Amino acid sequence: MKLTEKQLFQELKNLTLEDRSRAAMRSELLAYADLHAMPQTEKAPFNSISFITGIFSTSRPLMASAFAIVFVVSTTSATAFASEKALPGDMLYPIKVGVAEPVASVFAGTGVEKARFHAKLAVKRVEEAKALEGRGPLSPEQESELSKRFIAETERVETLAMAFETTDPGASIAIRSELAEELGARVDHEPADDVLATSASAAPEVADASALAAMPMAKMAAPLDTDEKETFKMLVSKKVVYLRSLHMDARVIAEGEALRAISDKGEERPVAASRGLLSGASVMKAGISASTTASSTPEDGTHFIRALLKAKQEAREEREQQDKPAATEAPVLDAGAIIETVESPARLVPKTLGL
Amino acid sequence: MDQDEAKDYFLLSYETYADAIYRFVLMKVSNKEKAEDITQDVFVRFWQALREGTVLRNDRALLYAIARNLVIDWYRKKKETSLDAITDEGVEIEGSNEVPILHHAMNEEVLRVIYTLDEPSREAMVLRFVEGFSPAEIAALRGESANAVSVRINRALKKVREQLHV
Repeated sequence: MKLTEKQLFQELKNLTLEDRSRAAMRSELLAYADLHAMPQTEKAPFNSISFITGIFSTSRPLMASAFAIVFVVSTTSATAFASEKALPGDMLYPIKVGVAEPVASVFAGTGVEKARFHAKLAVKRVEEAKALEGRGPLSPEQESELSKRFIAETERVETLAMAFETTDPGASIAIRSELAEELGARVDHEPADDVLATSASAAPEVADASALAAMPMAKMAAPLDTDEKETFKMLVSKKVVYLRSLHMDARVIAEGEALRAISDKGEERPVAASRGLLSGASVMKAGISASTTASSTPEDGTHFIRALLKAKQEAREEREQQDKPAATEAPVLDAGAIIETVESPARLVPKTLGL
Repeated sequence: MDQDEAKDYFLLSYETYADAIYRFVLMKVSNKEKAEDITQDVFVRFWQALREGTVLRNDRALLYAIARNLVIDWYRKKKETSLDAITDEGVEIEGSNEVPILHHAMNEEVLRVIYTLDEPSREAMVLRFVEGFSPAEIAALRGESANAVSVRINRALKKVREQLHV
């Protein structure tokens, strides 16, 4: 058959990446992008001038008063203390999160202490959100500010806790489980918000799945007789790592769940993300408490299984309590796809090109 | 841009241009695996550019420019290694008229025709008629005048027609 020019160019156009290669490349690139994240807008607290201007660059009308405040701060630390109770939108809030907290973080020590400090800040962000909700509905700016900061803190805790996971597994688990517990407690006491209820109801299900997935390993640990203690310790430390990956999955799922539910209501994405994280945290609670119990009693392998079974049982009971919203929502596994649909790419293009 | 916005934008660029960049690179390196590697590398560099806050007026042009430079780098490295091979083993395996190893189920006639063109003509043809670049855009990418590119395209098109009607 004779080719025409048109066919020739059409054939060339068909020369594309194979679907498999394209997908593999896509996920590798995304991983790369996560590993080499965009620089944060806040700068290090040491370069004071660019730091301060950096904080206020987003709110130009505040510049003048900002410098006035900065002057006060630099003359007396009283303002920093006064900022302690400030909420997003308050004059002193930028001082609190931009100056007082980063400075306190520097002095919070290293490793465990620092992780604990940032865990406290994460909880603080949630409390601020609640305090603001008490005043009335949150503005989109307040929501996005709080959720961004909340996510930054939880990620900080995760990074720090991971760093000393091998040297001090006990503290690493404890800090994360405490944070999960703190956040979980706050999730449960949220006013009846159907979105939140939905994602929270998905959480026990995931916890259930995590516990189930952890079972084979726990069973492996049970029949050990010689050197049982040592082997079991090793298994537990492996389990910690394994459970962590499960929690991460759970977090992503919960986040996706919340995103999807919220996109139907047309809410802003950062809020969705933070709520997803909150419900993800309650998922973490169940799994981590299981591994904490296990690692605190390494004499008997069966403890671990019991702990897991208990977590599973609790998860089931919890789900039964919240059965209604759970029935309407099918679990969503592809969080990536959800994120894409929520943040329409078409909307981003003109913004990025400065149009 | 914060991380999420940047990632969305990055993904959008990837979905939009990955195939075109891959094609562009493949036409030059004639090896599927190598072309995939370079394509991935192009997007890694593109992310770096986003991170460094490069103002993106025309990211298609940026992507092609990165791709072009990476291909040049690759040829440079290849030349060095093949020179090493000569000194080590005293043989040169590759002939001057390299046979393309595309590993694609494609009309062989297409490949035969397109590879009768020299590299600049091949690039110009693909960019003009497959990707829909204007001669001026192609010229900007290569640092040439639009006129020179137009002439090249016309000559190449003539050659392709001759080949097709053999």
